[in-house]
Amino acid sequence: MVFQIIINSLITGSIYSLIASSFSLIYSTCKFVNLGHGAAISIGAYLLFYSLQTLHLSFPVSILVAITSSVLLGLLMNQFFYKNLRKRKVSNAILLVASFALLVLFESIIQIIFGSDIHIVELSKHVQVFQFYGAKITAVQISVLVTTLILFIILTFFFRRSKIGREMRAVADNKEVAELNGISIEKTYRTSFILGSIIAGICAIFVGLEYNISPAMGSKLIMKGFIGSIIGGIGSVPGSIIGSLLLGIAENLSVLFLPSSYKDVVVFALLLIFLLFRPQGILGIKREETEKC
Amino acid sequence: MLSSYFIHLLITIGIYLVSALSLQLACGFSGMLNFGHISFFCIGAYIYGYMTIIGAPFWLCFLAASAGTALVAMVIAMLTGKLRGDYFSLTTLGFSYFVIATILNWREVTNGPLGLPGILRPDFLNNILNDDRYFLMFVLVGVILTYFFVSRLVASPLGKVMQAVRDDELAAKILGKNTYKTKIISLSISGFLVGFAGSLYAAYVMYIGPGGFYASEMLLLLCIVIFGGLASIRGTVISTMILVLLPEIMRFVSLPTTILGPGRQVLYSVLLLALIVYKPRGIDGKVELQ
Amino acid sequence: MAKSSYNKFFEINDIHKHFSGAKALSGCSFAIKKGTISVIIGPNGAGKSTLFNVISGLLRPDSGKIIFNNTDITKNAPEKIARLGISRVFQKARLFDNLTVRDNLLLALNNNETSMANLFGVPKNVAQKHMLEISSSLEGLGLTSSIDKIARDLSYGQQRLVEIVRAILFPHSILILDEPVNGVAQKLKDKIRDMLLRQKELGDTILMIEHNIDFAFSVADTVFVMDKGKIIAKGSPTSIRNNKTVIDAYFGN
Repeated sequence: MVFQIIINSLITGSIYSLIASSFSLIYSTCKFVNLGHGAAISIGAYLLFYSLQTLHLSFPVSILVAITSSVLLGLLMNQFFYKNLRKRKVSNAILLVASFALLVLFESIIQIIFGSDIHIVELSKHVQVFQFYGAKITAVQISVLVTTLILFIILTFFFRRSKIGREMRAVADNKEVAELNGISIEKTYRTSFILGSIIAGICAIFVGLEYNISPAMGSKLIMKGFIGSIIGGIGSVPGSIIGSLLLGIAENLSVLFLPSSYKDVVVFALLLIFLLFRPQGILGIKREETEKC
Repeated sequence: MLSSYFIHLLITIGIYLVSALSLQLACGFSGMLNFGHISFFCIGAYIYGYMTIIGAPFWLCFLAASAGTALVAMVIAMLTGKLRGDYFSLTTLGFSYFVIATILNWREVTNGPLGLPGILRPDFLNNILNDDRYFLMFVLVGVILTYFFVSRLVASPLGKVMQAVRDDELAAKILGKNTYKTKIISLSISGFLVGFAGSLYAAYVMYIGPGGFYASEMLLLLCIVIFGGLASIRGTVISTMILVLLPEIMRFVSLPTTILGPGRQVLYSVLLLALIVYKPRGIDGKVELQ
Repeated sequence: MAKSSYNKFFEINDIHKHFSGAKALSGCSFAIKKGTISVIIGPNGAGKSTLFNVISGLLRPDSGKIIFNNTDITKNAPEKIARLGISRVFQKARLFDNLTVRDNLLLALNNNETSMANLFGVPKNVAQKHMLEISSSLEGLGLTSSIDKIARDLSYGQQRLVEIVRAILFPHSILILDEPVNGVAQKLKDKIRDMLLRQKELGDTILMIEHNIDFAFSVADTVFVMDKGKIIAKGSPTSIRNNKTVIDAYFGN
């Protein structure tokens, strides 16, 4: 029993951490909350479904289509909207409003094109289930855990060793200094959007396989990702991963004590508590309140 | 004689106008982008509905709805008043999801996803308000009172302090202003007014449910406030009329009903994005979009 | 024994402040006499603006004390410090951009807007008194016709003037200005100098940071020189001009 909860928590947590880390990646570099990221997840999931079930493309090709669509949407949002707004030096609150509008816009377009029905992605009729100390785990779920782990190992190396990774960290730490050192800020923003959207696409595939696909999935998932980031520390990618795992645990644990429909209440209560009492999250750094007077 | 469709439109415009003016107060005049404004509306509607169902006198129902919402707004403001702008907005966004989740689960009071049917209109003057034409006049009175109240408030010394806090909170502190208290007052008044709007809605439709409340309505209110122009009361009036009537035109272009819902959302989100990018001042904006 | 009988008007005691590694203030100490004009000069990065932000309560020092009228104001909130009588002007003009000049100035004069009594307006006699104060304060500055202009429509120099007028109108016993004539045309510089000297005649106390040495020396009674986060010299303008330590600090060693 305990083990089943641990397994479920890890799975939920892994999926949330995929969202949260991609979201946090964009936040730490570009320094604003991109709610539109949810739409990038939605479109990946829908195109996975469409490629598999309607176009009958092979699974690998469908994955490619899904991830590419997420990246294209993310890039579109950045190049057409955020870049424009950044040039005009609007405040973070306005960028938040714009990202909210973008989320609703693309989710609505998806709903118009694909309809409001809930879809399930079936890879094969036969679901392979493994037993593990009395807990059940499916093949898909195993692949979620494994892929997430591999992804994070790759990301860690990417940020520590590669040139682009270090540039992104430099911009995240101090934009002005990074620019003085010759790093192109716009290019870095674009890269973080691409990278974040790739992860979003991978997440979309898992959500499609493990849960289901519905028109409002983007908003729901981005809220979870956002909450995970806040709990862990919004400027920090490792923090958002930890925060999401904790969120997954909290969600699954709450089912023990409260009726399952209260899951959402618990989740959002957590968000409020953190935003109000520890906005920097578990790992985050407190911003020095220096006013340039 | 006014057709019932026309009366319906006017009542709708009236209720949106009170909501928009209260959002303008918090946002355009006090600089607080309250993403939870719609959930305040919702709270007001539910309180009113619940109170009429348990048989409270109608004036108490309205008072409870407005004051109750104001109280919630006050608590939120007290907790978030010292947060940076976008964190404030995010907290209110999170709060709005919390409200929806609570409504869906607190079945004893809200009846969960089914909502509260059988809400009553105020029963004075022999239930005259059950006639929509007279209800329209009731709404109109509410709109006029709100309009004049908000206009007087923003021209008063308190209104100037709110605007100063919006423009430069630090400079306001340096002039000895208690900016935290000012923000609390501002959001509370905004909450009172939008709670009242919610109660008008509940009284009109005589039913309140959790469905279809969040994104499109919030988007519409944001559009109204920005299209009318931040900190412009006149602009808000004009933009409310235009933006509420706009989708009605879609009715005459026969679209399948499945497209109407998301279609409306597309319309408003595109409009909001276009406003932000091309015309952030809207019709009559007095303030830069910051 | 003798020290405690003095009225401590304005005293900075051993203030330390650091920001993520770098030390901005290292044991900054000095005292101001009432009714005088004191100017702080010093090379860039000396910590002058940081000091003012600590005084205004916008930053908390790591250690040290600030005493004003015998009260320890080190840990007070900015609005409380303002109400105790410290009026502040920032390095860049910070008017309320979307309000009129009149409204900007009224905000300095009104002080209980949030009380129920004043919810819809100030009593008539008070309002009239305020109007007189405002119009007389703008006389001679060429701003009387701009009284109903929106602040962001003024030129930078005009904004600076209005900001200084506003700070003067704010009830205070010490006026703290951060580079008041920075970015302002010569004619306006003279007007500002006259305003400051007139304030001193009225018994006001002024503390300011200035990079413009000529301007600083033309108004100062006392000059403080700051370098690397502390006061390295103090004296009359003439004595400072010839002070070797000061010259070394400016031109490096």
